[in-house]
Amino acid sequence: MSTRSAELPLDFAVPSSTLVCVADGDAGVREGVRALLGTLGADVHGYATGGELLASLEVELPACVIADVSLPDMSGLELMAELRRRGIRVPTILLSSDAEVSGAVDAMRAGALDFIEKPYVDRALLNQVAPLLK
Amino acid sequence: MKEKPATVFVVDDDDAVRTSLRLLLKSVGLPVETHASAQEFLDAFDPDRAGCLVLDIRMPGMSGLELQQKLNDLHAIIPIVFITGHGDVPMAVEAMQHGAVDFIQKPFRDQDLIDRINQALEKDRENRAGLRERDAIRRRMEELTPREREVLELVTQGKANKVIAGDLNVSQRTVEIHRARVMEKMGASSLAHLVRMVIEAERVN
Repeated sequence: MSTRSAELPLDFAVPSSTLVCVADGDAGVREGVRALLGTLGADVHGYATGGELLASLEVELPACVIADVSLPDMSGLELMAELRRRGIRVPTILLSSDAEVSGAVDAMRAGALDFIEKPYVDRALLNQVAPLLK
Repeated sequence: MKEKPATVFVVDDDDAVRTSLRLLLKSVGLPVETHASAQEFLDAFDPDRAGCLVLDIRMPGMSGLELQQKLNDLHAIIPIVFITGHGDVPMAVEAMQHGAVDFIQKPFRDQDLIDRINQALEKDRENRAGLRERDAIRRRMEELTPREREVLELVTQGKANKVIAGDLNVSQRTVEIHRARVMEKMGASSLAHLVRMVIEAERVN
């Protein structure tokens, strides 16, 4: 038997086909994403920090993770690295309000499904998330 | 097999950029060929020429992204370094999703571009070595007799000699002999090695 710790929750976590987890320090963005993806039938859970989102994965695995590139407690890239370290393979979309090509390239290299600039989130997000929901 | 030296293909609609990149790349000893449009590059494109492509993402006519798409449709393996402007994030993301190896944002330092080009050329060398290896495996597979190919197929499906003998309605000893010949002709050191070669041979670009 492997030892079970809070960091290795996967034996218990239940994969969901409708859950989308959003981490963004801005409550307005979380609400916006909730309203937007609600139209696809997604069950959207919002978290203000990367730490809170990671903790939630001990219970249920989402169909998709959406995170701001700069969260209050970590960067979006750090969040992706932590997901990888825990062996959690979940499609991850990063949001950014900074138009640097290098940041977008780094995110895509790290395996992000998409990197979306904040003013243009709506349509791009719908296009990416819809196929991930059952 | 001696290859021609790798060429850096520069595609940019701006005359000044083409001229300065030509001088820069020549100054570090890299063979360079410039094209003023994506279409012009495509017309001259030869998949057997080693090198990398330095491609402006925004151009009148066929854009850099459209050229990338066309090259992907041709299963071209040439690595692409895109030149982008500030704020070209959506285009950069799309290019990454379609396999671009790198990006450089204008204005850039010469050395940064040269570093990225050298990495792309290294990637091209690896890709081409992989293709040569795949061709060699395919050639060896073609040397197999029809019966040996059947045995190869069944062996790589994980079937035991006894089962294969039943499938082909021959003795187990005969299967063992065919199997040994397959391993020898393919140059396989183990069953796992043989399976890897078959997977490699069946891969498309």
